[in-house]
Amino acid sequence: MIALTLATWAYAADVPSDPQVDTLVSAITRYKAELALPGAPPLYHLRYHLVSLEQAEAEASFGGLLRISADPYRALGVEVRLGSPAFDNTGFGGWENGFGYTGLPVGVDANALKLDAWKLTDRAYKEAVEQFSRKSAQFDPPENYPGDYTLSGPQLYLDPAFVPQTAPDRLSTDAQTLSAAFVGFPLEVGSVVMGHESGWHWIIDSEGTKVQRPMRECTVRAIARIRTQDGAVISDQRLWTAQTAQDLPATAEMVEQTAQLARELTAVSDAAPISEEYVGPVIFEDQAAVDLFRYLLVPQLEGTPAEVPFESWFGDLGERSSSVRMGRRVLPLGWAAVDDPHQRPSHPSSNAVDIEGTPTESVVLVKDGIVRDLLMSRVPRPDRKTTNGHGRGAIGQRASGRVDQLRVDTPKTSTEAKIYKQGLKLAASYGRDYVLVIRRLQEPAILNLEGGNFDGDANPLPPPVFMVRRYGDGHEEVVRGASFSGVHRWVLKDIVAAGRRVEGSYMAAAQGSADSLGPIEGMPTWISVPEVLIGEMELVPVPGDPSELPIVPLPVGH
Amino acid sequence: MAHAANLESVLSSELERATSVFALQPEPVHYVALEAEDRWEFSVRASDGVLAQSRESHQRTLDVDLRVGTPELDSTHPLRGFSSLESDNRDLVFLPIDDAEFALRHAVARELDRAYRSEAEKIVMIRGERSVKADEEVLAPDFEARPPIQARVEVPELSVDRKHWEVLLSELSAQVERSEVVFESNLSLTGGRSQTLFLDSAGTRIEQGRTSVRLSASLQAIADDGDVVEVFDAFDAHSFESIPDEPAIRAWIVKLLDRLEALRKAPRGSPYSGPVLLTGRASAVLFHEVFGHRVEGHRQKRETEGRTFGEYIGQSLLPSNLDVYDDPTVQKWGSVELNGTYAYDDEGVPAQRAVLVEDSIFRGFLMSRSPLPDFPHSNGHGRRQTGAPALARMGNTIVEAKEGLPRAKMRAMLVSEAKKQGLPYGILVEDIEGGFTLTGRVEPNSFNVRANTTWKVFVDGRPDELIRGIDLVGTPLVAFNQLIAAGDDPEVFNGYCGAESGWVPVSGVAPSVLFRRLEFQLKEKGQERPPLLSKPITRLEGT
Repeated sequence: MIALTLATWAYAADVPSDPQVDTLVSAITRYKAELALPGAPPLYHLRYHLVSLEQAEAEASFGGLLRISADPYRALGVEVRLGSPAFDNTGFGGWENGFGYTGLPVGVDANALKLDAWKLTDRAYKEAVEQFSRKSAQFDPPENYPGDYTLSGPQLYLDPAFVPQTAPDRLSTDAQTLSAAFVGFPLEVGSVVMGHESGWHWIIDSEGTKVQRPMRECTVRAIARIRTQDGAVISDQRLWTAQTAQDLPATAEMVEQTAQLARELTAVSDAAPISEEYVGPVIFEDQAAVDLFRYLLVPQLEGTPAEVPFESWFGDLGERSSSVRMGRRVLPLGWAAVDDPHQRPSHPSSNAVDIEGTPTESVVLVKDGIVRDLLMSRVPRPDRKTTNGHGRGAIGQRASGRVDQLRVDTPKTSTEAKIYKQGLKLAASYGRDYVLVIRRLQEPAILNLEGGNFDGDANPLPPPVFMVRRYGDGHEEVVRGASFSGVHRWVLKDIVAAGRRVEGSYMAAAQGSADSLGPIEGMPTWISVPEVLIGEMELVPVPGDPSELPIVPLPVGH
Repeated sequence: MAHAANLESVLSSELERATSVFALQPEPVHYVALEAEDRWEFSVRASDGVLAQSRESHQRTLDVDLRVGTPELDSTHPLRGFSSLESDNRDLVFLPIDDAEFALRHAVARELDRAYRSEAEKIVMIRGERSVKADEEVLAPDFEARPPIQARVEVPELSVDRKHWEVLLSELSAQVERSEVVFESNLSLTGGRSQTLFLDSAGTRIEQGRTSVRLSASLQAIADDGDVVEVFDAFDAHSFESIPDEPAIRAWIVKLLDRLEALRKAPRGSPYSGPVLLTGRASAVLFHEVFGHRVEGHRQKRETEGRTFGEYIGQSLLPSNLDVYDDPTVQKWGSVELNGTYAYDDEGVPAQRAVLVEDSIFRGFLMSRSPLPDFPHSNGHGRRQTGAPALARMGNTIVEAKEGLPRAKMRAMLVSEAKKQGLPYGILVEDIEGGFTLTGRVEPNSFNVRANTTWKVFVDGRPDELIRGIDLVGTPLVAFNQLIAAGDDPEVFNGYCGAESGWVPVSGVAPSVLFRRLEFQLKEKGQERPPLLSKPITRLEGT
C-alpha cells in the first residue's frame, strides 16, 4: 500500500506548468504582500481552489426522459487566514469568514482568472478582517486552545495516470432503461437520476502547495415511492456510485436491482402496519447495517472541533454540535474501525489527497471498541494536533475531518442462522415469538419527496423502510409503519452479535443535513460493516394519513 | 422541438378518466383545464472578457387548473384569516421530453389527483369560513364559464447561431473589462421557443406559443463612497431580425460604458419633493407599477387588497388628453416588437384590448375569468408563469396622449414649475431599472420606482447634473393627481413582470409625463469599500 501511494506522488519538478495555476501563484504573491489594511492582522495563509469539471446529468421517470444536461463547471475558491495559526479568523461564526467561492466563466483563461481572483480575494480579505475582529471581541481562547490551523509546508501532487473523461453516451439511455423497470408497479414516483463528472481540482497555497486532484464520479440513484392503503407514504432508493461509468455495475444488473426495489416497496405497501410499540432485539442487515454505523458511529469519529458561535441578536450563528468520543468506548470489546481511503480504489471516495492538499492516510480510529484516533483536517484539537489527510467539504468552506472509506471489523462473526437463533432467544425473553429484522432505512436525501425532513438531532436514525418479523420456523412477515424511539449512540455498545459483511455508499452533506441534497449531490462515502444484532431497541407505530390517499387511480402499466 | 406526438390523446383520455372519477366524489369538479408546454431555450453569456456560458435546454411541463365547487363559489376563492395559510403552491410538473406514453400518462394522472385533493380541501375551508366571517365587500362569482373555442396559432421557427454570439459577446466583454471602472459585467443572449397545448373540460382546444430573443448587458462599478452603481439595458424581440446589428450593438456597449462611468462619478442625490419629468421608458414603467397592477381585476375582490381605483369607475383619473389601454394583440410599436404580445391568454380566452382610461375617465379593469360585479367577462388577461395559477395581468400597457407636447416644451414646463415652487432645480428621470408596488391594505399602498438615470435640471440655466442613489416613491392617487402634462414622444419599455402568478413578459408604451410634485427617497447604498488593490487590467487594446 505504501508503495502504491508513493508511486502516485509526483516530485516538484513533475507538476507541470499551467497558465492558470501560474496566475494564481502570482495572485498569492501579490495579495499576500499587498493586502494589508492598517491595524489588521497579517495575512499568513492564502489558498485557492480551482475546479474544472465537465458535468452531465439525465433524469427519467417510468421510462420517459425528463431532462438531460451537459455543462462545464468552473469555480474558484479562496481561503484567507489572518493572524497566526494559533489564532485566526476561522472556526468562528459560520459566515463571512474569509472563505468564499465564485463560479468562473466556462471559457476562463489566465486573464479572466486574474480578474475573478482579484474580486474574490478582495471580498474574502475584507470579510476575514471583520471576522477576526468579531472573534477577538467575543472569544477568549481557553488555556488548552489548540489553535486554528496547522501549517505543513508545500505539497506537490498530480496523478499522471488520470485523464478526464467525457460523459458516457449511456447516461440518458440508462436513466430511461432503469426507470422503465418501475413500470408495472403501483408506484407514485419511479425516477432515476444519473450524473457524471470528470475533471480537476487544483489546490494552490501560500506555502507553495500545487496539488492537482482528479475529480471523477458517475452516480446513479433510483428512487421509488408508494402509498399504502392507509395513506402512509414509503420511499426507498438504490444508489450506485463509481469513479467512472465503466466501474458501475452492468445496466442489466442495475435494472434488476431497480425492479427489486419496486417489488420490495410493493410488498411493504401490502404489509400490515405495526400496531403496537416494539421493544426487543433488532437485527440490522444489508443497507440498514451500513446506515446504523453511518448515523451512530461516524459522527463520533470526525474530529474537527465545532465552530465557536457568533452571538448575534437573532441567536448564535455558526455553532455545530460535536459528538466526538476520543478515548471512549463506542463499540463492544474487540471491535475496530479503520478509515483507509485507498481500500476501494474505484470508488469516488478514494482520494490520494484531501481538499487541503494533504496526502490521505489510513487511520485506525477504533481499537478494542475504544476511539483511539480521529479523522482530521488541518484544524487541530487539544488531543489531536495534526491532520491525517481527511479534510473534506465544499469549496469555500472550512474543511473538516470526514469519513472517506470506513471499515468496521468485529473480532468474531456468526453465521446468519446463529444470529437469527440468538435474536429469537432474546426476543423470547420479551415474550415474542419473532425477532425484528431491518434491511433498509429511509434515505434522508429523498425525504423531500414527501415534503419531510430528517431531524438527526431529535432521532439519529431515520425510520425503517423494509423490515420483517422473522419467526423460529424461518418464515418472514413483512411489516411497516414504525420509527425508532429513544435511539442513542450507546446502541452500538449493545451489539450482541455480528454476521456477514455488507458494504454501501452514501452521499454525505458537506454541511447541514443530507436531505438538503439533490439526488446525486454530496460527498461520496463508502462504508463496510458487519450485519449486527442489537440487544434492545424501541420502535413505535407511525400511522398513515388517509386524507392523502389518491382519488384518481394511478396507471400501473405493464 | 415540438409536443410529443401522443400528447393530445393522452391529455384527453386522462382528463376523461379523471372526470369519471371526480363525478363519484362528494365534492364536484366544475372545471378542469390542462396546459402542456414544450419549451426550448438557449443562453449565451460572456463575462470577464471570455465566454461564461453557452447552452441549450429542452423541457416539457404541465399545468392543471382544477376547480371544485360551482362557478359561483369554487375552490379558488381567496381564503381569509388563519385559513389563508393553506398552501396554494404547486410543484412544477415535468413531462417526458420523448414520446414515452406511460411516463406521460402517469405524470398527468398524478397531477390531476394532486390538484383534486388540494382543491377539495380548500372548498371545505372556504365554506366553513363563510359561515363565520363577515360578508365580503365585493360579491362576484369565482369563475366565468365560456363557450368552447378551437384555435391554432402557428409558432415561427427560431434557431440561434450560438457560435457567432459566443465570439461576439466574448469580444464585447473583453472590451468592457478593459475599463478600469467595471467591477462586474455580464453580456447575455437568451431566448427560446415555446409551444403550448391547452385543453379544458368545456371542449376548448388551443395550440399556440411564442418565440423570444433578449440581448442584455449588465455592468457594475463601485463608487468611491462604496455605492454599487449598475447599468442594465436589454433588447427584447421575437426574432433575431429585430435585434440590432453588430455595429449598433457595439455602439450600445460604448454608450452603456459611458453611462456607467458618468454614474460612478455622479454625486448621490438627496430626498426631494418637487416637479418631476419622466421620459418615455421611465414613464412606461411608472404607469406599469403605479397604475397597471392596481387595475388587475382579481385585486378588486380580495379583502386584503387596497382597491385603489375600485371606486373610480366612470370618474376622471388622469388629464383629459390621456388614454390608457392594455392590448396584447398589438405586435409592434413603431419598429419595436412588444414583449407582452399573445393571441390567447393562459385561461383559453382570446386576447383583447382592455380599455382602462378613456378621455381621462377610468373605464375598467384587466380581467381574467374571475368576474367582478360589473365586469362579468374576461378580456383575455388571465396570465401566469408555468407552475402558477393564472391571474389578471398586464400584456402591452399603452398610454396615449392626444396633442402631446414636444420634449423641449415639457422640459421648459419642468423648469417653470420648479421656479414656481421656489426650487433650484427640477428632476428629469431618463431611465428606470424597474420597480415595485405595494397594493395591499396593511402595508402603505405605495410604489417605489428604481430610477437609475436621473438629472437635476437647474432653473438658472446651469448644465444638467447627473445624480445617483435616489428612488421615486409615492402613493398612486396623489401621484396621478399631480400629472399635468404629457409629451408627443412615446417610448417602449420591454421587460418581465413578476407577481403572484409568476413572471410574464410585458411591455409598456408611454410618452414623457410631467408631475407637478413627486417624491424621491435615498436608495440603499453599498457598504463595502471599493477594491483595496487596483484592477488587474489584462486585455489592453491590441493585445
